[in-house]
Amino acid sequence: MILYTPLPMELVMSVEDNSSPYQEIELDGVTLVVQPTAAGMGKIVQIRSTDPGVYLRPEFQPGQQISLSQYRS
Amino acid sequence: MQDKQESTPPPVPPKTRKTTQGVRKIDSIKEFGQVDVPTAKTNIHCLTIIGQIEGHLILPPQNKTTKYEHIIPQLVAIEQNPDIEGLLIILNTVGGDVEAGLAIAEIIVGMSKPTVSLVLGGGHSIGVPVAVSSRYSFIAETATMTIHPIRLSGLVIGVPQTYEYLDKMQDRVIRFVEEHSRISKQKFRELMFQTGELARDIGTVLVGKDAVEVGLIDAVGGVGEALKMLQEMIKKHNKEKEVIH
Repeated sequence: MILYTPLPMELVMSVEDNSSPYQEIELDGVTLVVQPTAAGMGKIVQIRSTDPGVYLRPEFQPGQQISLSQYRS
Repeated sequence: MQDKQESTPPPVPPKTRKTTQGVRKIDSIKEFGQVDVPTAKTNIHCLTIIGQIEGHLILPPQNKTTKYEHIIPQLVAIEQNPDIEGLLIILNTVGGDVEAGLAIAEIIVGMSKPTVSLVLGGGHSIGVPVAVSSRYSFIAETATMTIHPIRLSGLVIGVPQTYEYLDKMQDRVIRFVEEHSRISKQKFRELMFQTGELARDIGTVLVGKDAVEVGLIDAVGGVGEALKMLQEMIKKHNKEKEVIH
């Protein structure tokens, strides 16, 4: 692998905490990146879709709390 | 411009309508576990490429990344779905994996549907071939593109790297950019090896219209211009399809 970036390598490759706090779930056909908050609950961090209409849906707004237990992937 | 807006009041206040719809939707999720299928269909999809383009290796989590394995299937789905007529690619990337970046660029080049790219913020390093891979490219006035050589200090894993190998990788990038934009190989190389522009490296930073002047990007513009261009291309594309049938 060759990285082609103007960022210094020490910034890109430094490892402090290797565990990602995020989790990916699929809800209604849309992939969401969520950050688990309380048990079984998560906060939407990012939507992963190329459909611009999805980003207007109120239930997918970043920061929304959703239940993870039924949508775990 | 303000006068224009004041003189034509919208018949239905869209804000209130959207809110009631939103409340109803959330209720239906809570009460029945159901979600309404959105009625507003769009014929354009939008691919945003942010942070580092990630390829063979997962980068440490402090990096914001666009993953190759997410992008490629999305592009295939867009090409295949008859409801989607065009693709807008929005870039704000600091580069990343050479192979993943070139792969994304190649798949965009190979698409039969109209594609328009827009560089917002930054389209650096491997973001350059991705930006030129669309049929028409825009750059925001304040957006920057950094062109610099692939360095030996860069991370090379799994391949016994030699100077020739890096040179070959660089040639792939240069050739791709030359083929898909108006810039010549010589000019691109010249920008790549320019001294005195970057503090820690050789290379050039192109801001907005500089990128257009050297022939890398087609025009300076924002999302409005990009979407207008895309709609025009779609119209033309659909007309051509009709002629064939």
